[in-house]
Amino acid sequence: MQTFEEKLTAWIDGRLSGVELQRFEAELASNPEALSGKEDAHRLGDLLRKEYRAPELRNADFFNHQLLQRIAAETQHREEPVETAPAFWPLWRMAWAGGLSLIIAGVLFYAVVRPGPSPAPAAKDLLAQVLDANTADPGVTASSFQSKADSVTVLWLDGLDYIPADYVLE
Amino acid sequence: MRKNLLTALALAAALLAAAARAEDTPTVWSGLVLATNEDNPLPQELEPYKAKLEHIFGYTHFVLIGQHSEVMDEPSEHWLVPSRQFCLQAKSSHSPQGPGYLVQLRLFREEHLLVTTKVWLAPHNPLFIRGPVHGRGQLIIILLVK
Repeated sequence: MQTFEEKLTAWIDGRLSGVELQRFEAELASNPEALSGKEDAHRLGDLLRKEYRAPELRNADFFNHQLLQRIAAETQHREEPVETAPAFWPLWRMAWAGGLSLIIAGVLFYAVVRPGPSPAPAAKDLLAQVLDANTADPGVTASSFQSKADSVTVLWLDGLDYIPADYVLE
Repeated sequence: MRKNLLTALALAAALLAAAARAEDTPTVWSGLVLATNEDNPLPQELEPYKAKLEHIFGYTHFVLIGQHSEVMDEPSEHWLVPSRQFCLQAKSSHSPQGPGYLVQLRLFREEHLLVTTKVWLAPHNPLFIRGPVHGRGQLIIILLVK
């Protein structure tokens, strides 16, 4: 169902006819402003048509060609991705630098900060040790020493009974 | 055929295990040496120790009176008998501090106890025990873990 404004616009434009026109004009009889509004609209339309004509396009084909070129250029520009400047520190470079830094820090730590345990002596450099020695005879003494030059340990017993030369050892 | 192969493999594994155990089991070599200045040929067993003996005891010639090798496969008592007159009673245990063996020794001259000592024997380097003085020189007992 058309509103009053829609009917009024159609009446001003002369698009109402027949029964509908008669009804609407009967409705307008009580609205003198609407009648004057129709006249004003017609005068305005005549004035615009008379005074403000669109200029004639002299080279219509050239104009069309220019317009289509511009449209094509704008379309292509819109489709091409905008190239952004590469980042100074992309992700892969950051990861590589971080890993390398960790390795360097670890090497420096073990080389400088944390002293390693003193290297264990080789087995061939170990000498026997006399931990304890007790003699049964109080007249006998026991002492020990190590000779690193000869790589030998000596348990020295003093005061043992003399053995004569004719004593047969076997 | 398959049974024979399995039997051969099992026997080979057993022999290898026995060999490995033998390698891990220490052997203590003991020798009774008479150091003297009398001219005597040097025994082959004493060649590694000649210079050491000369330097420490001052003698120039050495006679190997007797020697004995004992496999210390158990921590129980062992007897090292390099000679009839001198012997050592030994109880050994593996040193927790590394290579070498902790040994409790008792040195006897015949039936007389001379000294009781606790020593840590290192592989490769010997322990010399200065024994009694002899009319021809000096008696020395050598102990070595092999």
